[in-house]
Amino acid sequence: MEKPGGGGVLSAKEAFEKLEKVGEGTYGKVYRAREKATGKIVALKKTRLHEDEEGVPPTTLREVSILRMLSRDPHVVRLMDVKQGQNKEGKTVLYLVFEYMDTDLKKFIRSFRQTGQTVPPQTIKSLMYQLCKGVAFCHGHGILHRDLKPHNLLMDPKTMMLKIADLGLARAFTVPIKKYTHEILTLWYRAPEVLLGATHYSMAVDIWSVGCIFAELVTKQALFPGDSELQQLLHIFRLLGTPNEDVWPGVSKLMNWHEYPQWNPQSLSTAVPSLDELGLDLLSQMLKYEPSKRISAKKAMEHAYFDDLDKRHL
Amino acid sequence: MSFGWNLQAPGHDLHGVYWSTCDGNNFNNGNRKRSRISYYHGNSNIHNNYWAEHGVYSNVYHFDYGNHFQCDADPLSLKRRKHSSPICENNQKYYLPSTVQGNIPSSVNFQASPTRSNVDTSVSPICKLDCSIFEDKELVFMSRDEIDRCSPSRKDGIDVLRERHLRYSYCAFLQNLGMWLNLPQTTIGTAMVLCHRFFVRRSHACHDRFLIATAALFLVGKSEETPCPLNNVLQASSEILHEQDFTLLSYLLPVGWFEKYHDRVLEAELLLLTTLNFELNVEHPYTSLTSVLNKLDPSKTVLVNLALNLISKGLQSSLWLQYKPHHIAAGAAYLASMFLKIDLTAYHNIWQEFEATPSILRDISQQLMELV
Repeated sequence: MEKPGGGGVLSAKEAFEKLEKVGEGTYGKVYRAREKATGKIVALKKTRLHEDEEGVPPTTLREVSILRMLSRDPHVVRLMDVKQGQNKEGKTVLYLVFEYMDTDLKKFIRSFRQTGQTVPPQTIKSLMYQLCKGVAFCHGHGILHRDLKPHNLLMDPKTMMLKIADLGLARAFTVPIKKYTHEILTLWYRAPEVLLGATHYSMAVDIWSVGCIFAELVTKQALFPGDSELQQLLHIFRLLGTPNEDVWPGVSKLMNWHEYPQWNPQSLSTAVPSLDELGLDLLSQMLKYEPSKRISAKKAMEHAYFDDLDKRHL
Repeated sequence: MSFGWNLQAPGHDLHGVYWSTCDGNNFNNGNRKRSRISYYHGNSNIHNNYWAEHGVYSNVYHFDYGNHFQCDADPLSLKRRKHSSPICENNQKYYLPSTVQGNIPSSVNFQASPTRSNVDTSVSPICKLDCSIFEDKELVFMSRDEIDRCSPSRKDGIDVLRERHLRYSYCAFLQNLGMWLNLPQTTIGTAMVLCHRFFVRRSHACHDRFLIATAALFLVGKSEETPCPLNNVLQASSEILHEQDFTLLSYLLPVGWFEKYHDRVLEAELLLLTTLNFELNVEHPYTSLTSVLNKLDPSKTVLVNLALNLISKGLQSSLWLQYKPHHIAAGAAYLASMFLKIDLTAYHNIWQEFEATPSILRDISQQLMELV
């Protein structure tokens, strides 16, 4: 059987010149690199294949096969190629070649926090609209992202263009929604149904994350910065009130449900004081306890909060 | 759902091809039936009687865990190609975007179906020079004739009938292996479709179908969140292929065979990925079939079950390379209704629900009939 990747195709080493390491993921490093043939700057995501002797990691498989479907959208990072190479020990590695983006939303928010400035309301609106549009595109193609957080939202600070990245935890959903792993998603942006052990979940988990990101853009602080699953739930309950069967039918049947301290819901304006009325309304619809009642990404794009936004170039 | 797979076509006794004799129920109680395959453990050669019957004696596949199937040059293919790819590239049948279809005059007799409704046909403002190799690579559907004529295996002297039997054999193997590993039917089905896609691009003469099938099932397990440890997959496939308990295989096979097999499967996984350009998404007709038929009359469970059985049989064919899932669902429903003498035309607009034309229904049901 012939070796994969043979023929006249250039290997990663021949095709690219690594410039610097810009990050590290679960399965390998991310580099800024220059394509030798064109001089174009790209991001190379290196994937080690034989770490656990189980071949290509599932996250890489999902990311590539999903990005094949989604890379047409301007708000999803573009996967340009997949190259094969070898590391120093002669082991096979895969390089995912992405378009290069200068920064991410986490760094963007941090820069405002460090200078003590607030993110301009129109910038927040534009970024949120782009995020909703990207999420709607994913959901429209039957894909849940499952790990939306500022670090996974790439940005071009010059054009204020936002793109969803890191679809390693994403997956296609089917009807009926299957049982999914609940050990996913960075804690701060994790939906309450996931924290409470629901194994059947839907697009609403991404919308919860979008709501948390929205609040963080306004306040420059994480909305629910828990350091354990329990603490995370308590953070949520303190602001939104401890859920019960009235506000969220079926909540007490979830696997991780216990008797929690009883808190009454606070107004969202206490947590996000500088957000206007329409923004608060949208945020409240994104942070509904009952997943089926949470606003969809498509509906969010039509919300009155975005009415005064020039959407022509977004 | 488990099905008995009777894959041997009437009038064809093909030796050296894996025929599943498994009955789904036997896997649940630990009573695993052994399958039949001509593996000669003495020198590990498989002599393929098909070639002997056709007077081609020089094509012998040497099985060894280091190199797997090596092709000896045979009279029908003197020059071994390094990369087999489909010959017919101009005749591919693309499905037109719905925006285009609206402009086609009704007098034109075309057979295209609307694209999936969720495909965004708008052009994103991206410079074409920066185009990703993955962009605009909508799945191409080919006609059965194109698949049969353009298969790379044709250049290596493997005719249509022979290739069809090779297809049945790796499907039977996958069904057996998947059930052995307790994998869901959709995972097994997806692995079958990936193998079909692979062998439309690569020749059977140069690639061991059981190795590719093993890699495909392992790969799909990971991509569809039903992962199976590689060692379990290798162990099960070795037991099935050699008809021996795994503990005995270390005595029967050369030292280090398992490690070599392990490496070969991982190589095959990469080959599959690069050959398929990482296209691992497979839509199955089950959902559209049940949703449409249950909408009509939820009491017709016999019809639904028979149609589901037909779809599962259809996985052995190249239908998934020819038609969209809802068309396959329609063809299966149509054939099932004919078998059961249920008149589905009584239900208004049923075939429109499936977006299927009479010619599509006829063609799919005809191909499914050949498998029954």
